[in-house]
Amino acid sequence: MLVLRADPWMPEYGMGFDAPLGADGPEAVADPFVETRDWSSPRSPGPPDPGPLWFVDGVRRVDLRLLADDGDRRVPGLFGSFAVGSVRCDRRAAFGDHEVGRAIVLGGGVRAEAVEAPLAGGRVRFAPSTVPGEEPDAPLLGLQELMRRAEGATAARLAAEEGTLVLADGPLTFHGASAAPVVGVVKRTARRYLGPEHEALVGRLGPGQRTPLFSLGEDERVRRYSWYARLVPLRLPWHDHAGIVRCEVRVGIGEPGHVAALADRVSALLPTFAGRPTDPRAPQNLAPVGGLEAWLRHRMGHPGLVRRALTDWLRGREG
Amino acid sequence: MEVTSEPVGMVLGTEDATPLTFWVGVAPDAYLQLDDAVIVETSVPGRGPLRISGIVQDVRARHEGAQFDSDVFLVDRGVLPVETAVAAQVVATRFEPEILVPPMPGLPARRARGAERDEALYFDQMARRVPAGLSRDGEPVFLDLDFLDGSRGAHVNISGISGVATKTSYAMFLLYSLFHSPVLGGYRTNTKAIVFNVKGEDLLWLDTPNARIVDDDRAAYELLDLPAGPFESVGLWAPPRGTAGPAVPHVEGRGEGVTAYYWTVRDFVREKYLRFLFAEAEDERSQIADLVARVEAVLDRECEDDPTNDATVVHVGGGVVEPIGDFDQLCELIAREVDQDGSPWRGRVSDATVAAFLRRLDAGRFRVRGLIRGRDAEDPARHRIDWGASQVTVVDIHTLHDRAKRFVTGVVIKRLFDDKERMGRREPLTFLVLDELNRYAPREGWSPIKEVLLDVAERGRSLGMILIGAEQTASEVERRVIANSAFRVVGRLDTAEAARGEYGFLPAVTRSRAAILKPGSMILQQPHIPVPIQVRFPFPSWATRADEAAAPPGDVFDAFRGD
Repeated sequence: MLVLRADPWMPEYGMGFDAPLGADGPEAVADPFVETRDWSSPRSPGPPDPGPLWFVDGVRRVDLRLLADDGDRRVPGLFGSFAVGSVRCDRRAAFGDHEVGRAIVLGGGVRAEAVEAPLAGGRVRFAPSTVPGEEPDAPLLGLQELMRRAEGATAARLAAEEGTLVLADGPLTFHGASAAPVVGVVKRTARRYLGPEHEALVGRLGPGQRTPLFSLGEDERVRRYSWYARLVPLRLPWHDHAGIVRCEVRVGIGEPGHVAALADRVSALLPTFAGRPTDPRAPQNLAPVGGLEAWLRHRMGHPGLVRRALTDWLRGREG
Repeated sequence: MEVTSEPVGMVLGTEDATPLTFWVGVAPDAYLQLDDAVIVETSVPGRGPLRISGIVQDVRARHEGAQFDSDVFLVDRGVLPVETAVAAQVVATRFEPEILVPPMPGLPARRARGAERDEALYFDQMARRVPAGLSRDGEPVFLDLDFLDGSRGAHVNISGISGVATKTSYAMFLLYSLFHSPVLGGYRTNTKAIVFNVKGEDLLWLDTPNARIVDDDRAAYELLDLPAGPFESVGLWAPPRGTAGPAVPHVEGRGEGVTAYYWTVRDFVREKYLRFLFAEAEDERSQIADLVARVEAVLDRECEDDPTNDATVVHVGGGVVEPIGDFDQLCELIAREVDQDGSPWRGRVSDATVAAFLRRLDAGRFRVRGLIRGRDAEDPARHRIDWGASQVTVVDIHTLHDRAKRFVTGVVIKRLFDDKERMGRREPLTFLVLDELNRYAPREGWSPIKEVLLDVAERGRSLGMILIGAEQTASEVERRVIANSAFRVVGRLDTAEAARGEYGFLPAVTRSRAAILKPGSMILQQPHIPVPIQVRFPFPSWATRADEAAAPPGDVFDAFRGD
C-alpha cells in the first residue's frame, strides 16, 4: 500500500520538511562521526535541567515595495521594518529588551538617503541600506540580513552573562566566543546533511531524544556542530520528520564531549517548549518564540499606518 | 489628615472612550476596585480645562498575547511569555464645566480622594447630607436630604430577598442617621417616624444599646460622624393579649416599656375604620367598597356618643335607642341593618354583594376583636397609639392575623396622613417605615390601604410624609409607589427578579452584583448620582434581640480599665 503522511504546518507557511528529495546522497558535506560512529540508536538525555535560558528571535515585514530610478538604472527596493527581541524563561517567561529597526533597502548597490516620515505626531526613520543584487527578491534578502544581524547582536549580548543558555531562532548568526553557549534552533529542514543510513535515525527519535553530533561547514570560522532532536511524540497522520528541529553550535565552543553534554541538555529541554498546536508552524515554532513573534510584530506598529505615512511622504516629496 | 488623589493609570485607546463611559488601563503598581471614584483632567481646545469624574463599574484583567484558554497553563509553566493587563471601566458621573467630550486616550487617571471624591459623587453639592453608609473603600457615602424631605423629591424604596437583604436594618439605619446627625437642624426633635414591626420582635429593642457591637463597628459610626448607641426616643406599641380584660401587650421577649394599643368602638364609628376590615385587594373598586362606604356614613350619622362612656356609642334609629357596648354589638347592628331589604344602610346593591359583605364582616370581626374595645376599655386615651410622644414609634403587628395586620396598618397610616394633611405644612417630617409593601400596595387590584399608600407616595412629598417602603420584589408593588421614590435601594436580589424592568436603573454589572451582596451591603441609587453605588452600613448599635440587649458594655469593662 502507498503510505501517505501529512506535514503539520499550515500550508501557507510551506512545509517543515522542505528539503529536495530524490537525490541519493546528502547535498551538503557533513561529518557524522564527531561524537560516535554508532548511529544505531537515539541518544536519550536525562530529565531536563530548567535553569535560566533565553530565546532570541526576530520578525520582519515589507512596508512598501519600491522601484528606484537612478538616472538610467532601475533597481528594486523596499521600505521594511524588523523587530528583534528575547524571552527569558526561568520558571516564569518574561519578555526581555527589544529593538525595532526600519530600513529603505535598494538593490544593485544603489543607496538612498535616510527617510523620515511623519507618523502619529512623531516620525518613523528608515535607515538607508543596499544589496548588490538586482533580482526582485534581493532587497527582501537584504532586509532579512539586517534582521539576522540584529538577532546575532542580541544573542551575543545575552550570552555575555555566564550561567545561562541562549537559544536563537534559525541558523546561527553569531559565531563569536561568548560566556554562555548560543544554540541555533532551526525549524525547517531545508537541506539534507546526512546519508540515508544516518538519516534513518531521525525518524526513530522520541521526544527529548537526539541524534549523535555531526559537524557542518568547511570554513573553520563558520564550522558548527549540529544534531537533530524531536519535540513531540511521533503520531499519525504526521510524517516521521514532523516535530524535528536541527540544532547547531559553533565548533569553537568546546570539545565534542562538552558539546554532547550541551546537546543533551538542549534536547531534553526542547519538548517543554514545543509550539502550541494552534501555532501554524507547530510544533517546531517553540511556544516562547511564537509568543515573542506576536509581541514583536505588534511593536513594529500598524502596517497600514506605516504604509500611509510612507505614501504620504513620497507624494509630498515630489508634489 | 490631608488626602490627595493618587495616579492609577491612563485612559485606554483600545476601547472607545465616550463621554459616558471609558476604560482606564491600570498601572502595574496600582489598582482600581469597583465603585472607586476616578478623575481625569483634560483640556478642551478653545474651552480650557475640564475635569471628568466617574465611578469604576467593572474591572478586568487579561493575558495579552495569549490567544487560547489553554495558554494560561503554558504561562504558568514559564513557557509562554505574556503581559498581564488590568483595565477598569469608568462610568462618567460629572463634567466640570459641563462639556460632554470623551477623555483622550493616554490621559492620566487618578483615584479621587477627599474633595475630589466628594466632587465625583456630588457630595460637594449636597447642602444637607445624610450619612447613608460606607462605600467599598471605607469612605462615607451620603444622600441628599433635599431629595428625601420633599423639597426636590421624597421616599425611599428598598427591595431584596428576605433574611439576607437586611432591608429593615437598612431602613432603621437611615432613620438612625437622620435622627442622630445634625442634618435635620431645628426640626430634629419634632420629626417623627412610625415603624411597623412585621417580623419577630426585632424592632422592640431600638431603645437599648447593642451589647454585641465591637470596636470596628464603632469606628464605622465614627467615620460617619454618628454616635454608636440606641435610638434616643422610642415608643413601643403592641397589640393586646386576648380579646377582653386588661390590655396587656402581647410580646414575649420584652417585659416592660411596651404599651398595648387598641381603638374604641367610638373611634371606629367616627373615623370610619370599617373599610380597613375589608382591606384585601379587590379586582377593582367593587360593589362591596361602595356598600362599606355607605355603611360607614350611616353609622356615623345614626350613632351618637354614649354620654356614660368615652369608648362607646348609642345607635338611634327608627325611634329606638340602642347602646352599642362593644365591637360584637356593633358588628351585629351592621349585619342586622344591612341584611334588611329596603334598609337605607343597604341601598341598591344585590343580595350577592350583601352576602359577600356579611361573610367578610364575619371573618374580619373575629380577627380584630381585641383591637376595638367598648365598655371594658380602661383609659382608652393611653392605649391609642401616640406618635407625638416619641421620635420613633414602633407598632408591632407580627403576632396579628393577616386581616388584623391590614386593619392596623390601614388605620395607622390613614390617621397619620390625615394628621399631616390637617397640619398643612411639610416640616417637621413624618417618616413611615413599612415592609411587605407588596402586601399593602400590590401591583394588581385595589384596596383601601393601597389608596392611602398611593396618597402618601404621590402627595406625601408636599405634606412632609415620607415613605420608607420595602418589599422582596419590586415587580409586585404598585408602579406609582416605586416611581415616586427618589431613592432606590437594593439588597441581595434573586437573579430572576433582578432581570425585571423594575431594576432597570441597575446597570448589568450591578445587577449581577446584587445577586451576591452580603447582608449589611446595599446598592443605593440616588437622583444626584447617575450610577448606583454599593454601600455597607454598620452593625446596628441598638439591640435587635433580647440577647443583644444585655447590660451596657461600659459597666462590664469599667472594672478592667482601672485608673
